[in-house]
Amino acid sequence: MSVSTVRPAPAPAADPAGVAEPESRRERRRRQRLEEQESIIPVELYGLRRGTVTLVTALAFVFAIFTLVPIAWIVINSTKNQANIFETFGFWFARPFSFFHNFSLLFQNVDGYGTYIQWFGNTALYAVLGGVGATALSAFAGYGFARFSFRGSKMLFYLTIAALLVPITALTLPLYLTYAKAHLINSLWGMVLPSMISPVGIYLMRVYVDISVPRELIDAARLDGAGEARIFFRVALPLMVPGFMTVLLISVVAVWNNYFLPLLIFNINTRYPLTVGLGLWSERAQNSGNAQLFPMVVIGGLVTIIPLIVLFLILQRYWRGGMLLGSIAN
Amino acid sequence: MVPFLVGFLLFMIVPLGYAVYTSLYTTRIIGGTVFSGASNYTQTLQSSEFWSGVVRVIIYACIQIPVMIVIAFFFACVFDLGVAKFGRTFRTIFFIPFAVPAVVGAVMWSFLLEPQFGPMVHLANAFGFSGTNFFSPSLILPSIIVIVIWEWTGYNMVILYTALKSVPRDVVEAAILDDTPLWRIIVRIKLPLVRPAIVMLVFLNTIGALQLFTEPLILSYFETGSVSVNYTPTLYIYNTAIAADQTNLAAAGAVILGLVIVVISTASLLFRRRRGELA
Amino acid sequence: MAAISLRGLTKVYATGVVALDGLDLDVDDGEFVVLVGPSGCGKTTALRMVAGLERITSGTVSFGDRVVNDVSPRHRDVAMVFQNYALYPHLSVYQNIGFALENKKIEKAERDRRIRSAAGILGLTDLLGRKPKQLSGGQRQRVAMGRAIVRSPGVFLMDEPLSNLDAKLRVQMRSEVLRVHRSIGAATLYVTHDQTEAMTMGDRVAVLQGGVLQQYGTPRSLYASPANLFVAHVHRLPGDEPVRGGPGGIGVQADGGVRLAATGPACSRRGLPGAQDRRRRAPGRSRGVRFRDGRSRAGRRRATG
Repeated sequence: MSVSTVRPAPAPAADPAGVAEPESRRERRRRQRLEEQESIIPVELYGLRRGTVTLVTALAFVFAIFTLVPIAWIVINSTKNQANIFETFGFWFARPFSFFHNFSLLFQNVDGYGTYIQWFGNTALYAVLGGVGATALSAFAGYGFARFSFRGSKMLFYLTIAALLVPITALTLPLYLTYAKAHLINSLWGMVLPSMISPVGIYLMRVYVDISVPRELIDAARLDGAGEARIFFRVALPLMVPGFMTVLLISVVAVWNNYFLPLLIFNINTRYPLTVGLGLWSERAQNSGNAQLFPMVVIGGLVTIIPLIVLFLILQRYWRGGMLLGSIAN
Repeated sequence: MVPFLVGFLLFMIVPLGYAVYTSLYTTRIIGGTVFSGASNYTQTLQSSEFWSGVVRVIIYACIQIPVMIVIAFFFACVFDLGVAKFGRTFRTIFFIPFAVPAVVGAVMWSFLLEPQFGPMVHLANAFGFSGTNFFSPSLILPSIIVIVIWEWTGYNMVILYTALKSVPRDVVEAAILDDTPLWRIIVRIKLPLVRPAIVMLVFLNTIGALQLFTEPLILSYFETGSVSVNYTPTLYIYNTAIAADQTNLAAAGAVILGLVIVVISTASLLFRRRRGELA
Repeated sequence: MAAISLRGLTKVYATGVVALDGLDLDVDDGEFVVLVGPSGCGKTTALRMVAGLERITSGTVSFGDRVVNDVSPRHRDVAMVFQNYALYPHLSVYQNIGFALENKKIEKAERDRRIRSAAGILGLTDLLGRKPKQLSGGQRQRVAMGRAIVRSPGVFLMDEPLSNLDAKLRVQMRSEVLRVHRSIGAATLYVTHDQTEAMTMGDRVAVLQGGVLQQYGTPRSLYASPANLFVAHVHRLPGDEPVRGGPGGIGVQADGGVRLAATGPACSRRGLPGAQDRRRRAPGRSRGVRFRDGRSRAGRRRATG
């Protein structure tokens, strides 16, 4: 039968030596999008009726609007003064443009209910300490569970996961009572330390260590005579970074957004985090007749969510990846 | 390892122990603290308010969780298959509420749903539903459901999306070559393979739902009439402990609630393990 | 009219990588054609384009006289065995094999009959109730082939189905694969990186490298008249060291596997003219490598029912 003509190997279409000229940002994003499209099964293979794509995109659009409506509202209304919040159309601006005035109020202690800026500082402090602490602890514990077998390690791990079962309410009230007895009410560490215990974080880190730190590597290091601490910090940790970042993100968010715990254990408003402070203002705004508080609640809410949203956008790839899932890696 | 163990013991076991201890006592204004055995428990268990709160959160959970998971699964599928355009952007947008604390979310929606001035009321009027009061006793629970769905759907969706993505590509390609219609691919192939993720989410969401607290509390600031102090079990515990300063009673309530939730969760876990659905 | 015709088949990815460049290939009805080459040579890409799982950048794929570029893989009547078998993990062997039949809404009784018949051919009857994770690699592979048999496809594709098996099993399975091919009787494209499989199983073999077809012909002609050094390298025998040189070559009888046997009449170390030019052999070693017979007009295999 026929023998095909042989051609010389074709000149490579892609630049073999590297990038011939640097891609522009837009070109790179376009290529990334195309790559992402190519890495999934082409949509036309699913045999969809015409217009399904449009319909579904429209539905997604509707839900996106639903998601963004409160955010848009809070952005727009943080620029209004108290009267306008209630009297003008919710989704468009009104004069006078009061954003900067409202913003300045955050630095004052209105009616003695507390200063926003102080709450912001508190929240940041709790979140950083608690979040970093939780991540560090989870990393240690996760690594310990994954790569060490000691007597009863399995039992202990299940116990940790069982801790997930225990509802926070059932735990927080007793915690408050214990603090009351131990004079730990209003203490910084009273807030931070419990936040550092994160069964979810431990679970995620353990799964991640299982995946990304090969036993052989550790065994090799042990044979080389490295101490355990050294192994952990120089060998394992660099490999755990992505998982670390994801747990960090989750932990920080959890502490920043925590309401119930600080509500119970703090009773002087200089210690409140933002959540409790804003809750207080909401209540006082309605009940104390100080209408000034309304725009403060609005702009306070806005400033509360901005740092986390920014954090999310910057650290996007750590919540997009498989980490949030954890258990499915089994 | 060790610090964690210490911490674990300290912050979980000890308080629990103390709670049980406290719940067994009663503090009287005159006479100090006396051992009262199970009286706090009986008082709580006999309180119709406590039970109405329990029933309420169960109903709430039965509605909110399926609706939210269905929506989350729908969009997770959509983005996994690539049926909608701009998937990446949409996923980012949907996830934003996760960055919003419940307090702020409740506040935002309170303003939106405010019976007299809220934009949503204007919208309802425009659609012909004039005079809707989202904070009326009959509508307040649905309002809370909407708020919680707003807060958590994105997070659930991201998890389900990741689970769907882990279905091996060649299995779906094989199904395509077998001329399997899309609905069948989703129902008979993808869904069973992501069932562990769905189970986990139902589980986590249930534990959260039964402890509903923040949203009703904030809403109660805006409309005290519809949200009673015992609207949910956690609110009951909170108010008993702080407002009424009956910490012993509250402790009993906390223990009961904790037990109920642990029982429900463990039961569903074991049930599923027996059916072999969990790893 | 060839059962499968590829003309100028090309695949370029969005990144600019050219996976396949202008492949021309014909597969006759009932023929077993092997695509062989190193990783990244484009063989799997070509196969997937024939299946319809990969978008075609340019060129055509035709089944018979019908260009199928725009035909969905669902309607191409193609069955494929994937490298990792792609079995439905949560379904039993019975359900796996019967899945396509359920889609066609074939009646339960008829479905059952076909499933059991396919299972019988592959020796899976005792395993029908098991799930894939309870099966060995070789068993899973047979289930994957069962899925294909039961559909009686017009085109049968296989993507390195044996490469995940251990060496001994691989050799045994080669005849299984050919048996399945014969019972289906359709034009078959088989992708592998293993040149022994190629030479011993294929009616015709296409060698690819870097997305470009190097040579397409019977194993015999590939061995005897390699078009370039690459092909010679790919299809050399153990101990051979191809060098550039004059014409020459050796080919012997057909069979289904590689066997080190006594030398046949046409084969001897230095017996054939030109053999020394073409190949430097290890002294003292005699061998006869049995190839699948070349396709002569007279010996054309007909598709059996």
